[in-house]
Amino acid sequence: MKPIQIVLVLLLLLISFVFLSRLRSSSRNRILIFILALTGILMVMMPDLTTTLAQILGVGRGADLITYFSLVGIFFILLLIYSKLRELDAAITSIVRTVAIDQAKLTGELNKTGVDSNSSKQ
Amino acid sequence: MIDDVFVIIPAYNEATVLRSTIQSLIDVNMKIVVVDDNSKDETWSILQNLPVYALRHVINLGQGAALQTGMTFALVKGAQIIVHFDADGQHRAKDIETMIEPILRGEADVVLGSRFLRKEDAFEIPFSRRVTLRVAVLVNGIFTGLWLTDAHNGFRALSREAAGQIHLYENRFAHASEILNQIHHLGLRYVERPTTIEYSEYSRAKGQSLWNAFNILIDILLRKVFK
Repeated sequence: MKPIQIVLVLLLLLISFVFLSRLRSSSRNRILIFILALTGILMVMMPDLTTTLAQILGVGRGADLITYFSLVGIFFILLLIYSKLRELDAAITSIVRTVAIDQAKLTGELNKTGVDSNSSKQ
Repeated sequence: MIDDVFVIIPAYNEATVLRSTIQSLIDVNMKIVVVDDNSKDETWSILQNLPVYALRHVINLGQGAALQTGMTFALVKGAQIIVHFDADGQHRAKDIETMIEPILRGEADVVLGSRFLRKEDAFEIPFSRRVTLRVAVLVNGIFTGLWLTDAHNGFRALSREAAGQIHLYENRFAHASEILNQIHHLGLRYVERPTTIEYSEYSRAKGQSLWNAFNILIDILLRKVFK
């Protein structure tokens, strides 16, 4: 086993351990991470496997194939996170708006001048 | 008749001018809703001594969000007509009368202020700003389907029905295009009315730069992708 293989396998194990132990996630996500980590370790241990697959798809080296798929995958994840952010944004907006409206107050002399007699804060 | 007109003023760090803007509206007997978008300056304390409905966002969300908060509130309070008005003193309170007239006559659901309907108003606009606005008109037309003479004019009047149907999701400045988009899709009747913009050193400094215009364009494009 080459040194790089040891490093990569250890890193993969570490990431999946952190994910599974620290982050509270759905069992669907846990299974997904588990499968991804296993696939990763398999590919690190048997690089010829990816090279074979690469050549079937018309790519020279297995490492290149992995790079291409990783880039697409990362871009996809970015989009997911962005749309999640927008959802969060909308939720926060709605909370802030509700608080603002609930705590709205009629200030100043509007009551005294009688311009607005019927709509002080209920 | 003018009793149920609510003027919405989104305010973010506008302490220096807010008082005189509000005073001009008090003079024409308007119900005023000021939404303080979590200003870091004296904006909120200034509001305490003025006869307005004061609302405050507990965090800063942006002008679009502040407008929507004000509209939602005004509708709850029974507003029949809602007017969008800038805090920085660039709009004239006495123009409100001409702005709401088409709604009162039942001829329009939405009235949009324009600086380009009268020659004398257009001449008031600094040259660089005029060029930027012309480009914005074009971009707006392409993306919203509404061909107007002015862009990003914060002076608008909406009937209760129109305000109830419109909902601004763009918290930042892209709401100006978003509102046009919704007018188009909801099939609301709209007209433009001439307004005089008073350019002061203050409002000029606060005005949106070209860089900001670029950000708005990005926001619009993202909105097209993420509904």
